[in-house]
Amino acid sequence: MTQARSPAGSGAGTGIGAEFIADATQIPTALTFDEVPGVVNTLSPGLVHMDIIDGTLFSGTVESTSADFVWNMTAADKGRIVGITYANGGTAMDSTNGWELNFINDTQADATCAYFGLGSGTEAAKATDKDVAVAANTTVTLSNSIVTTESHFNRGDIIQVTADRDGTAGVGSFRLLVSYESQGHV
Amino acid sequence: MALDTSNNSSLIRTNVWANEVKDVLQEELMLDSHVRWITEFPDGDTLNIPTLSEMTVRNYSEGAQVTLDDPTTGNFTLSIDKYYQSGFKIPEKFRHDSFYVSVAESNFVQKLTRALLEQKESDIANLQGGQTASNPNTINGVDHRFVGTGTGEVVTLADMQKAKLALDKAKVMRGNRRCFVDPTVTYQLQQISNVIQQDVYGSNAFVREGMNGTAYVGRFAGFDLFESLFLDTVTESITATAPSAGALTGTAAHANMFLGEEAFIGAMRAMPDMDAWYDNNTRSDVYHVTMRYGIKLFRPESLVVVLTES
Repeated sequence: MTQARSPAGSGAGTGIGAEFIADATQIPTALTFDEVPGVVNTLSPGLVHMDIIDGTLFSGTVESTSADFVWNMTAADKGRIVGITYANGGTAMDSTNGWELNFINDTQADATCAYFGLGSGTEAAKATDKDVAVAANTTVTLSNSIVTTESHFNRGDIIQVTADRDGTAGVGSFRLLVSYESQGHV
Repeated sequence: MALDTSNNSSLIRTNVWANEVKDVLQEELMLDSHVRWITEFPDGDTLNIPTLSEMTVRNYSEGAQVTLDDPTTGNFTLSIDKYYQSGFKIPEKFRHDSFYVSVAESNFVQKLTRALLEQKESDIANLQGGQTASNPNTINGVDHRFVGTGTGEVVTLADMQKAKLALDKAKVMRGNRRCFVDPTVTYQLQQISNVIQQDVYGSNAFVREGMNGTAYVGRFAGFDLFESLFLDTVTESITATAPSAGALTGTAAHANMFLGEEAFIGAMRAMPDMDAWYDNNTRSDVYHVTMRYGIKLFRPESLVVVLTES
């Protein structure tokens, strides 16, 4: 969940900054704290199940703008995103309704991990990796073609997923397939 | 024949030695009173004081999983690292021959302790060095170290008001604020008509009327001003940030200290401890004093140093 109390650095003078005393300087210093992911994936079976539901998403999800949904998970070990299995609801993913799913590594300077487009609308078309139409009540599996070492994550990295919508009627869920490997982020 | 001085010089004491002695004048010691002396430090030479953070706040939505944050903790370390001695001896022959032996003995014995207390006073003044030299040491947007902005790098009332601003922004308690300044600062204040003609900056009767027989100068911007001759002298160029921004160089400048609550902390392991004994090997009376303690800048946000030239 997002931080609500402003750090003293940016909020100096507001009286609302949370501070701690730095060991080296003993000077009160603005306290910034990590986002807490709503999901922690596990080594077994290496799958994270995420539901995309209009309006109210699963625990830990924050609606950052009127059209975007952002949530996080913590990587349990080194590895990469292999792909997703998307189960569509009753609305077809097309030029009117759809999703852009952007997976970035928040811990590693927002390095791109995976990028999927569902449908063919403005947002879905942004996805550079996959862009597929999905009929109503249909399940599709998309593999991640990004295999660079930069796209890998390390143990404890926070993977942030942003979903941008085309239209407002899209409902569905996806399973995220994660592969644990010896290769971490470089 | 007259009993004149020319022919009877043996009856004239041309050089007479007084019974009294002339001593050096001594400055009042007062910095010690603004150190928080810890007494719960009975053994060992390093004291650790854990530091605690404030707690965080997050947004929450109905039904969401709660988030529990780990408080941030740290450590402050104080070491007993000051160990001083002072001593002298009176040989037997001097005791036999000197008319002034009793005066000298009592005088120098008490000065052993005085010397160590002056050393402690200087060490406390030297805590201004806990800040980063030639740096504004900005905390919460306000400088905690800057050069006096008057012509010739002397103090101005704006400097004192900026010191107040620095402590206010750093959440330092409003009460019990003091500043220790070189007498040249008082001299400059007495040149300011607003200070000596009316009480617009507080009850400055002492400054206006020429002091009151103490080191207390008056009260400015929430600070009780005291004069001290033990302050450090430094030469630094500091680029100040707003307010009163700009680069200034203080040459051989007095490091005047503006202090809030708990700026300094200390632990006294051994107060000046006098030992006196007769040394048969040298046929002398020996007097020796030791003192051991540690002091440190405890809350950097509670210290403002204003460098001013004379």
